[in-house]
Amino acid sequence: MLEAEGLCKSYGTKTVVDKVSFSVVQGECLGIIGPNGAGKTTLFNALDGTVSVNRGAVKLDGQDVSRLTQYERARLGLGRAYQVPRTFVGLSVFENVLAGVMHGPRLRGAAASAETRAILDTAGLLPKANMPAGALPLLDRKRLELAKAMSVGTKVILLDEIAGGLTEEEVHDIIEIVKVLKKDRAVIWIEHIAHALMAVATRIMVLNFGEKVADGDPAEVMASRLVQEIYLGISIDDAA
Amino acid sequence: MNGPVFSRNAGLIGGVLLVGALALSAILLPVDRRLPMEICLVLAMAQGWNLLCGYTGLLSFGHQAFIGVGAYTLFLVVNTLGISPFLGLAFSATVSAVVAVVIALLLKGSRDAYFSIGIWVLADCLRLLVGQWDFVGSSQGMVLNAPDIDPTTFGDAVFWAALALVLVTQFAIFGLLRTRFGLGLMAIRDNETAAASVGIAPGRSRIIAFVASAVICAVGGAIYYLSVLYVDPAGAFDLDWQIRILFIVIVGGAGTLEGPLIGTAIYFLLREFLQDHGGLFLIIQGAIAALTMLFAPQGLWGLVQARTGFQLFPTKWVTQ
Repeated sequence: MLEAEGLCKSYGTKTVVDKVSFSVVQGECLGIIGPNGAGKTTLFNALDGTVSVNRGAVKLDGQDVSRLTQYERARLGLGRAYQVPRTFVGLSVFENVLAGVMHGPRLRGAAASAETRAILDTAGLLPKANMPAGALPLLDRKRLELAKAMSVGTKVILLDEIAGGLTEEEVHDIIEIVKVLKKDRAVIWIEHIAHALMAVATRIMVLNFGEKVADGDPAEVMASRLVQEIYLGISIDDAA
Repeated sequence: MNGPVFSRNAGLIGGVLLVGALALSAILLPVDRRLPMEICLVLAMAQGWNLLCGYTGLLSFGHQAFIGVGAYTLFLVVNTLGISPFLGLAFSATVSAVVAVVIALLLKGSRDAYFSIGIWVLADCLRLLVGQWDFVGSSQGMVLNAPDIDPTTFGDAVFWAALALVLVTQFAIFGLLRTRFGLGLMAIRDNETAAASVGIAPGRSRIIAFVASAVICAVGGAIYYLSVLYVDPAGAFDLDWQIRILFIVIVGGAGTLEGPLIGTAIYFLLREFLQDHGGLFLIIQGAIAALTMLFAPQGLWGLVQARTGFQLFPTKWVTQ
């Protein structure tokens, strides 16, 4: 579904993403962890086309999309939920998702409406469909951010710390949604909340100073000495 | 019902009736046609500018440039090619579209205040350039040289042109906003990066909206100066045009199709009632603008819409 080959991004002399390669397939959820400043969000920016990489390639379904802009990659089925929700506050909840459904998979009329309703249903927002999106509380904004990512992300969805700032119960709701998402898509999820990743991730990748330092089975990666050292003082038993 | 529908489509009956009644009264009222003509033109320009500011999120302080370009293009082609002034309007539209594309490219990376000030400066540059250009009479301006104009029907002809412009503008923008493209514009207005992340092409959409708003103002300006048969740079490129449009859209409600109707009504009522009182008009106009920004920043119709959700020109997609 999505492949990254030797991605490098530097600002001046500072290398933020350093030769990162990985791939995800449908049905997988790749968790990404790493300390602040490890280059996680910059990696997402490189994947979705918000920044251009210095070296390396991004392939979506085998097609090299490295030269495509953000909106072109979105139209090919790459969705992204931002860490701080980027809601279209002047539109309704329904319109927030409809905009993506019409521009990404380019559905029209009744098909667009049915797809939008299905997405809102998955995200648990259907009862609030006609509300102004600007009036939603935080959890609903996070749900809407997920729904917007779903609206175009028919193949791959990037999730950037969508569980941050939520209560335990709310985190649980988000986990359930992600479980549904990964069934017919590839999901990549950056998250600091370890137990959330453990619940859904099929693999976990660790970034440190822009480099990939581990990639493998969630339990093994989290238990590894390396992760313990990077997250000094945080043991998985405490986190989970 | 599963298809997407527009909320309270019934409101549109009210919208069409209102616009129809206004148009009819403009046609039938036994007043000098110069005033209704000017109202039509200013309303059309305000709607064009509203498309850019209220629906695309670009606050332009330089749309007087297009009014000037439209008027000067018309005078130039009529005086040099000898064509009918009403055919000349097509040239005004074309030339202003080209100028708009050039300005859009110059201001490509500018947003918010940078865009507003950048276009203001460019508009002033155009005014100064035209003022230095001897072929169009420099700062003296130029007179329309159209011998085949029949003075008995000319006043009516420009009125009909103005009425056609405002009706086409109102309903074309309404139609545009109900398409996928219109929804994309509003998404860009709210958050450009998020819009791109859901497959909307921000740059291209913004240029299309910018050119459309420029062409409407250009044709409006061309008709206005055609009606007085004389144009000069100080008048056609006057910032006062922009201030008038700004007042109308901000007070009525930016990002609504009903707002500019209300704003235009307020503006002309004030102007007509206070025309013998000199500076009082400007003082009251300023006070109304300030009060609106303080107590109803979304404008008068914006206030109504936020409270009731009612639209005379429904552009909101809803699901049952």
